[in-house]
Amino acid sequence: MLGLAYRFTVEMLAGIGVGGFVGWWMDKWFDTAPAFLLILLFLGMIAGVVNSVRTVNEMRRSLDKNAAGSAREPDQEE
Amino acid sequence: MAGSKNAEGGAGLDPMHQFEVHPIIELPSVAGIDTSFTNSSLWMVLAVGLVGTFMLAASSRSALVPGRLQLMGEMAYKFIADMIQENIGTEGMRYFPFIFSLFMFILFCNMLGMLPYSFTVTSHLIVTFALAATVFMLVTLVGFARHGVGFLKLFVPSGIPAILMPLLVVIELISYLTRPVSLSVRLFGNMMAGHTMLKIFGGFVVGLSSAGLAPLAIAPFALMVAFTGLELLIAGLQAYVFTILTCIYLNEAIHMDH
Repeated sequence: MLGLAYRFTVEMLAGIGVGGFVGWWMDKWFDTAPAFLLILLFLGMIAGVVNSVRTVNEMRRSLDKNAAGSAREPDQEE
Repeated sequence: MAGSKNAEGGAGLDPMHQFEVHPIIELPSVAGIDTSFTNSSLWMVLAVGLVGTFMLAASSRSALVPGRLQLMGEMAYKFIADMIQENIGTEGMRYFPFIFSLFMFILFCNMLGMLPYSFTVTSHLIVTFALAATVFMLVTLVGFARHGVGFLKLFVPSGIPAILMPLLVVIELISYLTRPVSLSVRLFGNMMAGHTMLKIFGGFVVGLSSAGLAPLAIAPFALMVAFTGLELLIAGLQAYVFTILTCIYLNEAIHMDH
C-alpha cells in the first residue's frame, strides 16, 4: 500500500521539520546558533520515529479488531 | 482553469500550471495582505455553496421514507455521527457541527478538483495547513478547558525514570507540534501528487498523438482512466483520514487516556 508508506514518510519528515524550525527559532531568540538547531533537529527525528511507531501500533490494533478471533499478544502501550 | 487549456495546447506542457493561483477580481490590499478574489477563493466558495445547497435540499422535505437526496444527506450525517460515537463517545457529539463541516468541506473541495478545468483548493499547503491549524487550536483549547493545567500531563509519559524525563517531555512536545504539519502535508501531498500525475499522463497522450504515434497513446490514456478512478478514491479517503484524525486528537484532549 503506497498510502501507508507515504504516511510514515510524512510522519518522519514532519518531526524533522518541526524540530528544525523550533531549534532555528530558539537560536534566533537566544542568539546561540547552532546549538538548539542541532539538538532539536535530533530530537525531532526521534519524535518522528515515535510518531511512526504509534501509527503502526494504532494500525495493528485496528487490524486486530477487524480480524476477529486472531489471538495476538497485546502491544506495549505508549 | 485557463491553465489547463494552455497545458493541453501541447507546446508548453507544464503539469504544475494547474496549481497557479491568479486573481479573478482585483481588490485593494489591506494592511499589506492581498485580498483579491482568486480562482482558489472561487472554488472554496463553490464548495461551501454546494455543501450548503446539498444539505438544505436534503433536509427540506423530510419524509419518513427518504428520497434519494434525503438518503444521501442522512448517510453523510450518520457516517460522521458514527465516527464520533466510535472514536470519542457521546460527549463528542458537541463537536459534531465542526467535524461535519470539516469533512464536507474537504470532501467537496477534493471532488470538485476532479472536474476537468477545475482548481483543487486542497492541493495548496496553506489551505490544508489553515484547516489543520484550526483543528490543532481547537484540540488544545478543548484540552485546557476540560483539564486546566492537568492537560500538560499529556506530555509526561508514565513509568519513566526521572533522569530521562526532561528529554522525553521535549520529544512528546515536538511530537504534539508535528500534528498539524503531518495532518496538512498528508492531504496536500496526496492531492498535489495525484493531480500532477494525471496531468503528466495527459501530456503523454497529447505528445504521442501530435507526434503521429496515436496508437501508442492508448497506453497512457488507459492509465489515465485508471488513475482518475484511483484519484476519486483518494479524494474521498483523504477527507475521511483528515476527519478521523481530528476525532482521535479530540478524543485524546477530552479523555486523556493514552
